[in-house]
Amino acid sequence: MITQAPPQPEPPLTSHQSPLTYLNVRHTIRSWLLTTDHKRIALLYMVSITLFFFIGGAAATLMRLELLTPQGDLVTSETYNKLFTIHGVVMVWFFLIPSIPTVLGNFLLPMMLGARDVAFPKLNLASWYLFMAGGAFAVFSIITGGVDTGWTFYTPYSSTYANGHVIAMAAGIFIAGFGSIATGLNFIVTTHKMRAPGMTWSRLPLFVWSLYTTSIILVLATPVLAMVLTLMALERAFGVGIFNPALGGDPLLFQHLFWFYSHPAVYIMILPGMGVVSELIPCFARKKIFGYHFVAYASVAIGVLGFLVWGHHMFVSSQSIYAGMIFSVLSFMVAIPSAIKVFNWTATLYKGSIWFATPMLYALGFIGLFTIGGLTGLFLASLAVDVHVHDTYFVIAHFHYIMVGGMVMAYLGGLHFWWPKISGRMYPEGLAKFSAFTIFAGFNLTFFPQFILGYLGMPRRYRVYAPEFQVLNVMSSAGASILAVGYLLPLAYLLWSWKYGKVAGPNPWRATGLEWTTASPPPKDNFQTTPIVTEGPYDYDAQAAEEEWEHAHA
Amino acid sequence: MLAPTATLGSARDSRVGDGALAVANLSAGAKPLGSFQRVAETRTGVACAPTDPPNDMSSATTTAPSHLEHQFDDAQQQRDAATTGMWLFLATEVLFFGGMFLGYTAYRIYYPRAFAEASRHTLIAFGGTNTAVLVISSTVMAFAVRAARENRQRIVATLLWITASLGMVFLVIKGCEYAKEISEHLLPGRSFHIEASDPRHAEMFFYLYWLMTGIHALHVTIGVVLITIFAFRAWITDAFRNHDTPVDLLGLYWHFVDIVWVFLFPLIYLVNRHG
Repeated sequence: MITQAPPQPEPPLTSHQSPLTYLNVRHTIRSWLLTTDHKRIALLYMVSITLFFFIGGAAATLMRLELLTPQGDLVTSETYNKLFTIHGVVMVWFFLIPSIPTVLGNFLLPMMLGARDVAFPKLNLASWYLFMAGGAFAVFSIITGGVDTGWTFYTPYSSTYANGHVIAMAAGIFIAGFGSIATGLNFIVTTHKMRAPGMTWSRLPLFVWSLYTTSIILVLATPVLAMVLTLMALERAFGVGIFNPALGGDPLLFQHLFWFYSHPAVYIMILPGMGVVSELIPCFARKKIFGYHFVAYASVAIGVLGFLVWGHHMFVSSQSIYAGMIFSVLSFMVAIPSAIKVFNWTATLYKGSIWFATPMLYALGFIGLFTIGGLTGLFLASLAVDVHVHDTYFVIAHFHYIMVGGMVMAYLGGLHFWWPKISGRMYPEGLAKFSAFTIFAGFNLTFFPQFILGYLGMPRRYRVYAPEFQVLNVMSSAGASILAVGYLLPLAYLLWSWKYGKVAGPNPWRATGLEWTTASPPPKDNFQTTPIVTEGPYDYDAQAAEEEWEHAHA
Repeated sequence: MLAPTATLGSARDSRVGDGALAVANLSAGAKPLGSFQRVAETRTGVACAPTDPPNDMSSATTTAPSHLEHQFDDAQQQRDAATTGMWLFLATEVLFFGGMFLGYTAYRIYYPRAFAEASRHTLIAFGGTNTAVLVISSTVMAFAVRAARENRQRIVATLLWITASLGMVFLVIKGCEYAKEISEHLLPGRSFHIEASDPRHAEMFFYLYWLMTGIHALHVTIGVVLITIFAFRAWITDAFRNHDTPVDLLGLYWHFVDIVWVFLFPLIYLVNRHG
């Protein structure tokens, strides 16, 4: 992306003072907790979701330990139920949904648009407080005994029979949900109204397109979740039936309303990841993205279709067979825009000058794992096959390939890519590559055996299983331990590099994009002068990159 | 119920050729003067530098209105952003109420007789009066928005007082209706009692009735509080002089609350009443 503004100069330097950035403009705790700077709010989110990631990860670790043996010998069934509920609730609402939008999105969206901040900075801070208040409710509910309903809160179990603090947990999700809505609203208005002069819709980076679609889903789907959780909590508190068949209600209505949110929520989780990959691939292939408009509109298409497929979670829930057929066909249609993206990324690599830096490793990992996750999704969208594998480990493996293999890979890739911008420092490349490989290997060892387990008939959510499943379960648990190491490494070296990493400079990847035209870390208001945009994104030259490489290695 | 396209275009796009304006407004922010001049210096010799930044910044400083927040370039941009944000918020509200309307509709289709019978126990005199009160308050609000646009602060304050009072009247009438219903054992729970062929689903009707009108009344209460605060500010301060956007957006919210009731009233009180 070429801007007419000259390269941004460093802020004025007095002889022994470091340049004024968003990080050192003030140092008090108050200046962080009351900040309205989108970059600082992004860091607040980063710390919070990392905390929740390790809470959810701890629950998963205990589950994998229990599943090492066919007998239930580590925890009771009740505890096991609570563990998978904690894992699901925390990972979905307190890590995956906020992850890329609130950390990378908050940090980058205004900079990618050439703006000084999001449209509503105070609302942005309020979102974080809502998120933390919701998180406090969830942690309270975990500490005081947990919830054993599973993250889906199916009625009438959750509203009538379940033990534990279901209402506190639901309240936590409800409150955090309003944080999500506020973030989505903020991003939509920012994209519409805060673009720099010349930044037309077809010059937007693809990450912005995907954030925009994600925000629309957040704004339109989350209120329905808030409503359905309210109804469930009221039924539990006052015993008035709306979902409980014993009181004249219909549990299927709960599932309809719940999945009307929760299926689009899957796209809330994966679309930002696709956006990150669309940034990484052109940069590290030194090539313009192939089919910009196709990739951009594919995001929108996924967002729209995502609202129409919720019924595929209810194929065996007494939903009418005709509804099932229609939901099946619509679910297949989501594969089309997803495949458009994968093909366009692959076509971008073709004849590119590929540079295997850590972010690129994550991006390539994303493409492969997302493809596996997406194609197995088609198995599940087929009515007949779904009856066989419904509620088995096949489903678990499928959505972990999307969520962990897709979203977490993209998050880590994006985090490494923009880390020099966020911190002003480079991470240690060798160690980062090693941990990327560790995560890839650990991930596949953990979740590939689960496809086989599920196909052979091992149901999800049980701690005791038939002895013949043990080998595959041991493989899976072993993979999980490798995965854990892979996740702890970046935590350690990124923290280390915050202080001791090599100084990065404004644009270590020589990437295009407005965020790379300003200093690293950026000044408080992002740019010294408002940039003026005259060209589209991804103005890379693969041939020049090749020649330069040959010249350097001649 | 989505934002009209008129407000969705980008204000900043129209100023592509307006580099000078953007730069001038930007300089009104907290930029250190030194660095700004350095930019200007480095720019000399760049072939496509759009315009030279003005050396005299006082003009930009004086034209920026006091309510303009630092992230915006001009008042128009701020207004467009706020308006779009409000419409999006209302869209989330539609979806929020939508979940309840869907539940109500589904069960009315399942149990048409029980719902019709239960509907006949609702107190239409209260509901009808309240509809009139709310529609009139919305009209008054529309006049208040217009007065704000014309900068007539006293009239704005007076009309907002009237709107808030009508909102209060609505809440009082609703409260009386609730009290009467409790005395007639129409509150779902242990004491619920109704003469109907299918009391269990009649109870479900009343559960949905209390929930939907209750959440609506919560919205009315929030509205009344906000309108009262706005009326005070319009009366005492100059907060809305040459800055009518907040009143405009409050008006949107109040019309939304009104329109939800316009849907609730026929669904709850009128459906199959004489069937």
